[in-house]
Amino acid sequence: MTENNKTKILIVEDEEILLRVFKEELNEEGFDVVTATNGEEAVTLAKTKKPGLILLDIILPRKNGFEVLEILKASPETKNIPVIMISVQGNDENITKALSLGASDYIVKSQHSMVEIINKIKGFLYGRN
Amino acid sequence: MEKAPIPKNEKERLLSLYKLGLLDTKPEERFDRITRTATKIFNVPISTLTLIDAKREWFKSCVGLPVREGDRAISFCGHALLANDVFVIPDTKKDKRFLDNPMVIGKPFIRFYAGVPIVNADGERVGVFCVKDTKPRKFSKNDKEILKNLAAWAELEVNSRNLSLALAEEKKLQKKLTEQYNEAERSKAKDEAILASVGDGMIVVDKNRKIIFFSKSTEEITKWKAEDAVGRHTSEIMQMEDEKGHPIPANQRPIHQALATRKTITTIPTTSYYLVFKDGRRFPATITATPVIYKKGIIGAILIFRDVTKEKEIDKAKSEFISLASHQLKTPPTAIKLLTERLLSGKMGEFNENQKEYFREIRSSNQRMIDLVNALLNVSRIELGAFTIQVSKKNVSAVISGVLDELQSLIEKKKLKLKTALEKNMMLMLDESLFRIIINNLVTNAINYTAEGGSIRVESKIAEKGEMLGKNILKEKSFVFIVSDTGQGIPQKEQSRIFTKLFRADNAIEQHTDGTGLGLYLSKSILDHCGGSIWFTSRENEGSVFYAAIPIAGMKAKSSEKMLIGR
Repeated sequence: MTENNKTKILIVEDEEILLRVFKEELNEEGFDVVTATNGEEAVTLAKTKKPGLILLDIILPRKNGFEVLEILKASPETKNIPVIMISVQGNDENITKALSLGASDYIVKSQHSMVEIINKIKGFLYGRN
Repeated sequence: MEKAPIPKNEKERLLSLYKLGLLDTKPEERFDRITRTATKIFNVPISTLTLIDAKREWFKSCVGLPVREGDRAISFCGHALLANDVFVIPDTKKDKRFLDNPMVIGKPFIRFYAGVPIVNADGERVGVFCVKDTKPRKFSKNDKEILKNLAAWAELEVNSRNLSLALAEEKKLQKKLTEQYNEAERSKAKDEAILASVGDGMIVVDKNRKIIFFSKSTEEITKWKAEDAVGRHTSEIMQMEDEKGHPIPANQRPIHQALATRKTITTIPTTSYYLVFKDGRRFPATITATPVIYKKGIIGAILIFRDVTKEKEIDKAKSEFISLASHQLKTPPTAIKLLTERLLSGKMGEFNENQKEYFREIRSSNQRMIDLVNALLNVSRIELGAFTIQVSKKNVSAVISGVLDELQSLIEKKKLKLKTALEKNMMLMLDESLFRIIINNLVTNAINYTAEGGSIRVESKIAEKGEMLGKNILKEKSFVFIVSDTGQGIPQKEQSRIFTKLFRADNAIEQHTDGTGLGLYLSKSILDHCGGSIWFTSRENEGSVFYAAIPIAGMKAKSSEKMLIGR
């Protein structure tokens, strides 16, 4: 994949301001960004927009991140979309739970700078190919 | 002269005599009338009711003699004592045994004697009833019969006293027995009250785990009647399973372990032991099993258990509260962090240096807040007991080296010299993230409170029990981590408070404004919870040495819902 090809990323985050920052940063990197602010919306958009990557927060209204993850992994049309959990929580059990439910990675928002997060996403998407 | 013989059972006889309590007592009419009657019937001058003591004959009743006692050895009654029938001496002068007896050849010049032994109720011969004359005489069969009857009368009087004594004794005994019985009943009632008041379930089993006691509260909890439960195996009353419903294997059950290890085994409320009963009821329980040891052998065990559903719910509520608080507290600073970074990146337009400086200040203040929130959340978790210690075998040196690598840039920025003396390839049972928190805390402190150009030394070693380190003697063989610095040290008067929450020494605040005051409190709390210890020595303006020790067996595990936030 080359950088000109706009890869679609679905960001699920209930904090509007954080969503805006993520969206702006990712747009500037050349990604097409779709956003959802609650769990149900996330599932719907994942199915209809078919993003190449999902950034999924844990604490969300109307189905939390883990529930969304389970649904996505259970459905044939979405189970192959890689999901990176992002959260303010960095404790081991959340990480373990996320990974065991099928998340591909886990980012702790408060511990990384935006640059690091973007690099992680890029590394993940391009590294896979 | 033949002395009066001593019968074989003299000791018992004397005992019996003394028990009578008649010796040396005042004359009594009930005895005197018998001796009087005897003298009248037989027309003799002397009649006595004699009690034979160890060395004397003593007259309880006496007619015709001026004395009340005499020497046993020369007495006639002494002989009569052993007779099986009436003892008669028709003429003392014609009897070899007595012809030279002082009482024959001298006062009172006895020539005739007839006596019958008096027997106590217990069968012992205590004395003699006799008649004496100063003239020799014949004694017919009839006379003997009469004398025997008189003696029987005397015996009756003797024994009636015996009887009343016996009755009094019996009464005393009865009273004592009743008192003892009442005492026992009271004791029993007290014990039963105590056992019944124990709200927890209590089951006592023998060494084969068969139930021998089942308390009232256990009846209520298990819905089994004590009489039905006694004799059965505990497994017939209740099953043990984990949270998911899988049965707990036999060798992990508290009673098994207590009987095998001879130690009291207690499960903590947060461990998942669920008791299941035949009616399907199920609750989480805390269980204590204590072996009962008698003469070095195990004879059984006492099992006490309690429904801890409530405790578990409270625990869960605490964890959920912390989770929620944690999330709410961290979200705004995270937003500020990402936003200020974006502002500083230039992607929102260029700012002048002054404006950028303000953004940097916002960013660093914000970072302090994030650190503080994390530290406070850890403190909350520790105080509420809502955190876990999960241990596994780890390479300590590798973990320490990892932490030192992370802090490398900080060390270089302050131009500090770092020396290490680390025990290579040491394996220890650790909770890695908790261990990292401690190492990080101690080394960061050394870095922060040492001025530029100073030096830090990091050492790890195994120390033996009894070894002295930093003025502290180790109570057991331990792994010890030591950080020394040439920094500002801790003033003497503030040393006692260094481990308290939010405490920062004055000179520390002056040197490094950013500290939370929670680092050492956290490190100490973690070490306290997992069986380790922490101490230090320090001199102001010279430096400090901090020691963290973990027993060689490793950190003690602890289960709960949440973990502490590591770095």
